[in-house]
Amino acid sequence: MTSERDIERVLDHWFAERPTQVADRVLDEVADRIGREPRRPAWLPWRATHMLGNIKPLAAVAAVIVIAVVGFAILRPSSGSNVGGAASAAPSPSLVPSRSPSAAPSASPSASAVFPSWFPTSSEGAGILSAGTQTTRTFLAGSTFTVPVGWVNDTDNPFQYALFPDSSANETHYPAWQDTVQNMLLTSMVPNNMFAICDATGLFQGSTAAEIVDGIVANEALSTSDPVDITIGGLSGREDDDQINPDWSGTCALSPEEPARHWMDHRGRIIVLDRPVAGTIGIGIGSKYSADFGAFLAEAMPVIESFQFDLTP
Amino acid sequence: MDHDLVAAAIGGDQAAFMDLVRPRSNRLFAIALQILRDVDRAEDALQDALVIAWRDLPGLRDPERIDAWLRRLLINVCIRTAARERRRAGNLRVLPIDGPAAPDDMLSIADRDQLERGFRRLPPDMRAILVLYHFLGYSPKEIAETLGIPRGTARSRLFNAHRAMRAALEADARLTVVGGRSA
Repeated sequence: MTSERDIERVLDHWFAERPTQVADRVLDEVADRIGREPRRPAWLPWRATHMLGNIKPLAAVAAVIVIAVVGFAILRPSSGSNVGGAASAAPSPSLVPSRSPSAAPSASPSASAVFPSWFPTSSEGAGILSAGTQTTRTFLAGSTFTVPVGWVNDTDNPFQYALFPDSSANETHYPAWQDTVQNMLLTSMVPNNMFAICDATGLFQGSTAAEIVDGIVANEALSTSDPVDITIGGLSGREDDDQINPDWSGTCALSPEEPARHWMDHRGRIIVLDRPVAGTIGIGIGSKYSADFGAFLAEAMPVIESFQFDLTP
Repeated sequence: MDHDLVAAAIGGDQAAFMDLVRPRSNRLFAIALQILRDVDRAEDALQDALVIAWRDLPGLRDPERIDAWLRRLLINVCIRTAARERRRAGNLRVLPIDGPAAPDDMLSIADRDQLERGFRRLPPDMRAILVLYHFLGYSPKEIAETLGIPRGTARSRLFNAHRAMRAALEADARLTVVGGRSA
């Protein structure tokens, strides 16, 4: 199937049209979002949006004022929800995010989400979280947890929930890496189509926390710590710390252009928790740079250990 | 052509904009789905692209080009989405499972699985090139216009995409043999 002369014919066939229909709710949401989305004025020709040099300073001043007003409105004390960038009820200078949030309107489903200025505003999730108790919105392993100031939620869907710190390491490396270099990801189930670290490890095997973590430890592509039992939110499970085995020379399964050596400095902790009836919850804590891993774990584990899961169907 | 709808949408008529994009939405969704291989991500990409289209529509210089313009917006959103997905630094990464493929008399289920895995391994811009060429039937000239790149660059990228797809399929075959089960 992979010979030179066959590949185009095979791809033509594979890509052949299949009926696809977009769900009505997708367009309904577009209609809702465009009602809130500012747009380029219709009377301005395209080239006029490239402002003349002497106008830019005035625009910059105006933008600073807008950012200040918006920022004050967002960060001022509020008794409302503390998810999505609103500050907690107890005003404190320490609650101000370490960097200015972007004033650009978010294109995410959450209209109120505010992200660090260096992070794409189109991300899903609640954005910068205020210190205190937080609750996931659509994550199937519905969770309540506690964060200190400086954490950001960029993914909240039924299957995954992700957090990262608004840290200098993440900000510094984001442009090159196009993602955060320190983050944590929770999955509402650990399926057999899940990988760890550059996909070098092959697919997860097993159906219980012990089986899955023991399978990771046995994988020759990884160097791991001894697995230990852990309890989080009343759920028992198992965890281990992982890195690519320095003697392993494979490539990342999903990214063959990225040899495993690009991930040699990556360190991670995998936690798998058993659900009460059946199935598992997965938690990955990763740092692309080993030197930062210990400090990141010290920040991340209290957040992880505060999780309480609502697993009622 | 929907001149009146385009003109009304440029003027700020949201209902006209929705009337403009609704009949195009299934086709646009299909493109996003082919690139991203995941229904949720494709829906999100389509939404983001249409919101960007609404925001930037007044800058559209040639209303006759509305379809090419929408596709270009969507493909750029898909490439950015796929790039972010692939570079997630966290420990856990998920290979989404799509619904069953349509019955096919030429490709076996194993062939389709292998193609699926091979395609997912490609960099996002290569995925987009292959979708434009094989799914939309674009010529290298049209690919160049859609992606805003020189025609020669489009040809070389298409060649490289085919080569990368072959390499990905061969790597997959090795992985299957070594690992003893398919990824």
